Amino acid sequence: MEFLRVASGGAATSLAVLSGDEDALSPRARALARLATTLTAQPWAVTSETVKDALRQGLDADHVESAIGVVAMFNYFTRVADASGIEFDYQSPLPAFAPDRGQTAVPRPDRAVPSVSDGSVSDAGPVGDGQRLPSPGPLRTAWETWRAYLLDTDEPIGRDERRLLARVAAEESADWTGAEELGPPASGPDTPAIAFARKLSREPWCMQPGDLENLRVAGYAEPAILHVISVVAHQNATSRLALGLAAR
Amino acid sequence: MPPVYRPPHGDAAGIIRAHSLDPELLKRTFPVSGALRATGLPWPDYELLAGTTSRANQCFY
Repeated sequence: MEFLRVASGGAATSLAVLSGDEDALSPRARALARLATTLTAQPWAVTSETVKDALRQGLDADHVESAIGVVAMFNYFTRVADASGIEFDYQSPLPAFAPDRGQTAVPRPDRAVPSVSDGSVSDAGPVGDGQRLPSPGPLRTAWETWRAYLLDTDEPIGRDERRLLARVAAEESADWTGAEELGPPASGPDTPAIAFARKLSREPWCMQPGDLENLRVAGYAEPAILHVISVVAHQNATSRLALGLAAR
Repeated sequence: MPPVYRPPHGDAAGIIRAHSLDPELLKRTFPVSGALRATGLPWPDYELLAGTTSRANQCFY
């Protein structure tokens, strides 16, 4: 929140975000915060109305696309931070954030529930059938270059395993279209890596050093563990990007 | 890059060091956040979205 404090020119917005007090935010900030919260906690529930709320606050279509990209990217960074156990680098006059490790994940809809990605109608109203990638340009190029490396590299984990891990992350995001594009689902009992992918996708705040140790015991070396983390975190980001963009 | 992003310890930020076992991954990942910063989204909006996402995920980052 320190960057937000500096960027917004004061502590008020950071304190509101820290405490989850949406009412203390400006209408524009509130619309963006709702977009971020919904896309993060229940990406399948983002609708065109969620997006229109932001547009009504003076953001244009390009800004909304960027906003969805930022939320998606931070669904990557937060998972890498939680899985790898990095520590906070910065000093701040703000109160320290105390993560609620007991937070319960929003129950995932089962496959029968209409999703944004299939263009169905949900209880929240009609949802869009728009594109699942950013408009052509530097952001799209960078995202696709990143994705190609994480899904189409043979070392230090193989392509089949990458796609299985990514598929779990897509399923946990209720991104059925994305899941199908990644190939068939894992069969049989969860392997340690699949269990890791499921936990990191659904409850990243619950990650502990023991989760990494489980992978080591299963034979994963540190470079392979980094790729497991990155593939899973990246697919969580990509599914949120896709569902957010498709809802426009 | 705004000075606030520079860690006071003088080393690279932890999120960058977390990727350091694979320099190619580092090179492929961080241009995405660079591209997002270059889209014209106002900096306060960017940080609000980042902070709210972190809070929703109960993460300090």
